[in-house]
Amino acid sequence: MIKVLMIEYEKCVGCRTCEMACSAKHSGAISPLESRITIVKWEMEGEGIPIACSQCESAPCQAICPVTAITRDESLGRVMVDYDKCIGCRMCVTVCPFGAISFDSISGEVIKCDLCDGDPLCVRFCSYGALHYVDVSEQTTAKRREAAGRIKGVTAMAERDMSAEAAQE
Amino acid sequence: MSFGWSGQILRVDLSNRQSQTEDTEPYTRSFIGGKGISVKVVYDEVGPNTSAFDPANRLCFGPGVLTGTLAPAAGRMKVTSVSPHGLMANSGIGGFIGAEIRHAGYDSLVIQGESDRPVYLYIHDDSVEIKDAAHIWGKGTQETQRLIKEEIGDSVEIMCIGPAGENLVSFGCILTGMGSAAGRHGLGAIMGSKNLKAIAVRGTRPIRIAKPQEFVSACEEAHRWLRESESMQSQAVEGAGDRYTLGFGYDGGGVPFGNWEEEDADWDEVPALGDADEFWNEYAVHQYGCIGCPVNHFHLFHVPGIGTGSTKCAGWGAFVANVWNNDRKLMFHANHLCNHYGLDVTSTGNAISFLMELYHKRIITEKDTDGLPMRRGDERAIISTIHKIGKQEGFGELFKNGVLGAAREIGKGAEQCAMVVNGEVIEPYEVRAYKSEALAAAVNSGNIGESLTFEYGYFTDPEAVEEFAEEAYGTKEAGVPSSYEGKAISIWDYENRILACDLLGACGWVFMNWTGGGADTSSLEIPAKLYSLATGRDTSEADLLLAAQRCKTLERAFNVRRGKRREDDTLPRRLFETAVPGGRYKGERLERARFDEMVDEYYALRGWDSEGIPTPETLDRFGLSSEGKVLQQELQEKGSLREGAKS
Repeated sequence: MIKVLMIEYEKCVGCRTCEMACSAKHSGAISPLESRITIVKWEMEGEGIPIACSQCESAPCQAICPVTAITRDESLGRVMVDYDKCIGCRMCVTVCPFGAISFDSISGEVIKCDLCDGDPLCVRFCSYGALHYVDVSEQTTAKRREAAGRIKGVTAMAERDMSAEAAQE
Repeated sequence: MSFGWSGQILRVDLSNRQSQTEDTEPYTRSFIGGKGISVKVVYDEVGPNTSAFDPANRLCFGPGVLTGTLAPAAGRMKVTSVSPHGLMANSGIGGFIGAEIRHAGYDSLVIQGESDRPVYLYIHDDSVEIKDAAHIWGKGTQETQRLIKEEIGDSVEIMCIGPAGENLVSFGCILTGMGSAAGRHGLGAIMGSKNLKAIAVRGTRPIRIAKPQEFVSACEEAHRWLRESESMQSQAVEGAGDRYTLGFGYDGGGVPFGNWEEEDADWDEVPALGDADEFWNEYAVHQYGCIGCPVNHFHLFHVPGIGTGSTKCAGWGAFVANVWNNDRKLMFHANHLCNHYGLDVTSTGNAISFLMELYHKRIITEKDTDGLPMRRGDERAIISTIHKIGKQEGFGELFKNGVLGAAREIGKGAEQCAMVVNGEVIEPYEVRAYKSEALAAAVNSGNIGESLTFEYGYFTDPEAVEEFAEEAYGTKEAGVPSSYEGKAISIWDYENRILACDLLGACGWVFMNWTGGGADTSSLEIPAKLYSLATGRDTSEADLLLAAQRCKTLERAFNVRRGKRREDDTLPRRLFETAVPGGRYKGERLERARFDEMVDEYYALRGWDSEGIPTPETLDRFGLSSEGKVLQQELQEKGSLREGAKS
């Protein structure tokens, strides 16, 4: 089963720990420009949304690459850049609909999430439960369970109310 | 190439609109980073007669060595300058601004000179621009940040002053984001005096790590340690630190009602203070905090009709029982307005509390306050006073030089009601009962937060506190609030530890926190290890504590040069002459003789003489011989400098 980086956007507090962990892992330095995951912040509203590569099944970056440097690694369900082939044209950066590929001016390479070869460090550092690495089939399980829990709670409350009313009578 | 440090200090002179950089390295061996660098810069560069608003005063921003790295809870920055009250002062600020400065390539910012017109500073890596701020002068802190973002882009972090700092109110703060502020000591007025409205920073540079793999592993362990800490999580996630602070604080007799009222205060008027569940459940949005923090102990609130903003314990302390108010929405409103004007909440709350006492005692009437009756707990009295102080209109002008300034103008005995140390208000703790806090307030210009010890956790878990006290300081008494024993040593130790955190940008609240009744994160071993791995300099907890003491000694020497002596390390007379009027510690007194003994003990631990002057031996011991010579020479030449810059 393919695993995916699952983001629960509403749980993110915008602390940027994931960015620092990602850059430390990939560049050996704490370097916001070199992070493969980025927190887009609305500072004055106190909101933050993490943006990282979705590893698209039909990836625009892969389609546009003129030298087939971008390929799909089926074993981990990820889209990878072959730096031996990459000519640094940055077309992938241009076409990514999420801005999830960026050009790292420090290393002179395009950079994107590689899922840390199956053990994403950002997930290990997230204290707020916003980042998960889960089987693709589980991507909706937690949300579904939460929704079901609410329904269950409402149902149970209604039942309690009814029995309380019955007891009063 | 330097590891851990960014490597450079950025110095901006607003008078000649020039900036330059210098190496951080010469400072790091003795002073590590953060506040350490700032204290050294101010000591060396600001003379004893330079007043706060003199262009020659330095305003130093010191993020720590771990700020902007993967280390947990290390987003803090200390701001250091000569405060409007004439002594060197430090105030901490969190959020994301410190890390952005580090990533722009700087370990420290030093601002000097004075612009001839309103400006803001825009630092983007090595590009430093002084930009016109005429169009944002006069705006509140939130609008200021929005306007600057519109002008130069969303990706900057900003810290700024509001109208209070512009108007040189001696308790104007410097604020970033939605409410993290360097609140104490009026450092916003220093920015105002330099015509500097804001500093916007965008940093895109790497901070290099000496041992990256080990550093990442150690950080992961440290993040997990804090994430799994029971006391941290109960305070942060459930908001227990703020939500229950008041109930818990008053239950322990740790927080005064009103303005440290005397025995004849109408104690019956005190409202019953429950927890803040109702306010919380209705208005809390989510957790909020600083960069890289697994705790994030602020909460954001959205209150329709008032606004969205954050508040933490200082707001709760300033605008509830302090001003005889039990309406949390009013508390939030008051806090929100202080953030807007860029006012320190603690000082503003005390200013209102002070006016309410004067009104209650009929020292003033509504004629003195523009027709506004300063009734205890009155919403209009609270809100209008904040507007007037922020805008410096009407009776608000009384407070330009703080509560003591107002008391002097009012006269008629009002000075006896100014609860200040060296002109700065005391944080709202019941220091007549909690003896370590009495000492902390006296020796730190009213600022207790810099050394708040574990005795505050006594009523949550007395056995744990006593056990810890016995183990750490050799006597259970150190943990018992009303006791005088073991207090000097515990304050000395906590000051050192919190100051060590300041060198690294580590959060003193997280790493030295006891208020939740847990000691499970009170250790500097982990910050020391992370510092060692980041910089490649093998450094122990003891090494950090030594640097912290060096820094404290130099700060004291600076203030001694400005005339600070033992008689300044004391509390207002009322706190010695009256007993606690109600609550758990009703009748408890602060005995002057026993207080003096605590000060003696504290001076001895610090290596200061009976006047509070660091001895030559102490200066030598901390490697401060050359700095000490400056002090000795000035003492010989001028004798006492009491008539100098100190107000």
